[in-house]
Amino acid sequence: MSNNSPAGAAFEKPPLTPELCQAIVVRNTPKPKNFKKPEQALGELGVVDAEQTKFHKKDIRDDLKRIRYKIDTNNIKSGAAVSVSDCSASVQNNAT
Amino acid sequence: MLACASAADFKLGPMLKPRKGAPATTERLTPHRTTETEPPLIALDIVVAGMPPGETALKDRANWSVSATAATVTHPIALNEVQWKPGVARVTLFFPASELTGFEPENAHWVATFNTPPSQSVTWDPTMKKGPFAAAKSKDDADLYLFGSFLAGVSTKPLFVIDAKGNWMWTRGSWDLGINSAISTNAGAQTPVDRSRIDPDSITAAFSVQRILRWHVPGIEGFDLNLQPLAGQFSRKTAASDIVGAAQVKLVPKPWFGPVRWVAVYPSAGYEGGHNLNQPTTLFKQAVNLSGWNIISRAVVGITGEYYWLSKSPTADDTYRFTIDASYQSRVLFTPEPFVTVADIKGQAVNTVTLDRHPRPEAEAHIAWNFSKLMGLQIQYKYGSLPPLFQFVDHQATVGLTFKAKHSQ
Repeated sequence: MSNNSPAGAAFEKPPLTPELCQAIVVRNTPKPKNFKKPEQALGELGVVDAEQTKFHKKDIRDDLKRIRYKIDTNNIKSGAAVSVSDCSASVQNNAT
Repeated sequence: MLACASAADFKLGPMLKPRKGAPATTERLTPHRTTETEPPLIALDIVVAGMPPGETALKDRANWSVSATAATVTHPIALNEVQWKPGVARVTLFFPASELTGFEPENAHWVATFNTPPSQSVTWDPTMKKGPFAAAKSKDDADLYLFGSFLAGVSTKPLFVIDAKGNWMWTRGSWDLGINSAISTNAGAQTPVDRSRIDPDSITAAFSVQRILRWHVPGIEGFDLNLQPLAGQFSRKTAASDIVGAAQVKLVPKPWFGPVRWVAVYPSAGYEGGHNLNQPTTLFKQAVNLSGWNIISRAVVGITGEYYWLSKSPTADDTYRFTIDASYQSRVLFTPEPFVTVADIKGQAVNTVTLDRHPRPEAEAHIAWNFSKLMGLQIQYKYGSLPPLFQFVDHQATVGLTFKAKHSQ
């Protein structure tokens, strides 16, 4: 199958842009509608404790898996005091 | 009211891993097909904090110098375009992939300098291959820990102290697996001792399996499943040893309210089963009859409630202004197990040990209030009993005040 075919494009690995990483980080928080700016702490989006952090990391990993990227959850920076920007930077740096 | 931005507020943070860039003006969230006419680009993303004093100066290629060093040769890079992306707090530098000859961008050492005063530089290095071990800050932080000492003196027999722990965690598919073990010998012993021994005072070992199960229901994150197929423990102090397996499932709803004050509630249920390995004939210097203490079989139900009030600008050291967490769990026993209470006999507190099947509740609550950056208040409450001996704690509260400060000069 040619890489230029529409079917090939559908399975193409998208470039891991800052916009895509931030979108993945935000949409996998418990309350993505609370997002206002990248400097915001994930705690304000509902990642308030260890249990929510665990789910946030797993959901980011699964979301990346759907677009054919892999990441070790230990390399995702998440938690109540972590900013959206720092979390998405850790995703961009460590997803392969 | 609008906040005033100044040059001092604007800081370049770390540079991120070089990536393939779509043409700068067409970067977007969704994948798209590239055409033959688009030259391949490389993008360098730099995390930024604050607002730039002048957007035009920031986006001017002439104000940037970029170089890549590979195999000790430094290559200056000519930029195509500089993008300022306030929505993601990034500056992205684009240049043609043809600028790189003979090396991959991820294998080079990168330096980018924004030359407008005050000049700022950021770097990126290829990920160094990590060894199997990294330094740990403390015993709690360590996965592998070993402490050993030998004490010799005139009026005491030699005293050996060994304190060790080993934790291994690994992931297999959607499962997280782990082994936790610890051993301690003479950790609390004081000289003089009349004999040297290296028999362990306490041993614990457990194999655990954990998995998160998603449940796509509004307001629910899913279930947190924890299995401990095998765990063993031994304590010389209480002469207790057992092998117990456990399974617990916790429902994880999304937290309520926010964005600054949150409430989270986690109900859980589980089962613990195993076998007691030791029936001591004396406990707390009294003769006891624990001949019916063999099989261990318990249902465990519990609930944890949390209230969080986030700090104005949460940091790792100052995340919450005020927290309350309270947990309650009850063990419903299917077989008799010991229960230790303190009775007042002739004005003396005496431990009494019984063997029965009544439910064993246990409750804990913690309140932490950081009413300033220098001072905080902690209140802790405990009630109930925990295995293996179920030593009963009757409404115990601890209040603590913390003052922490350092000289500002």
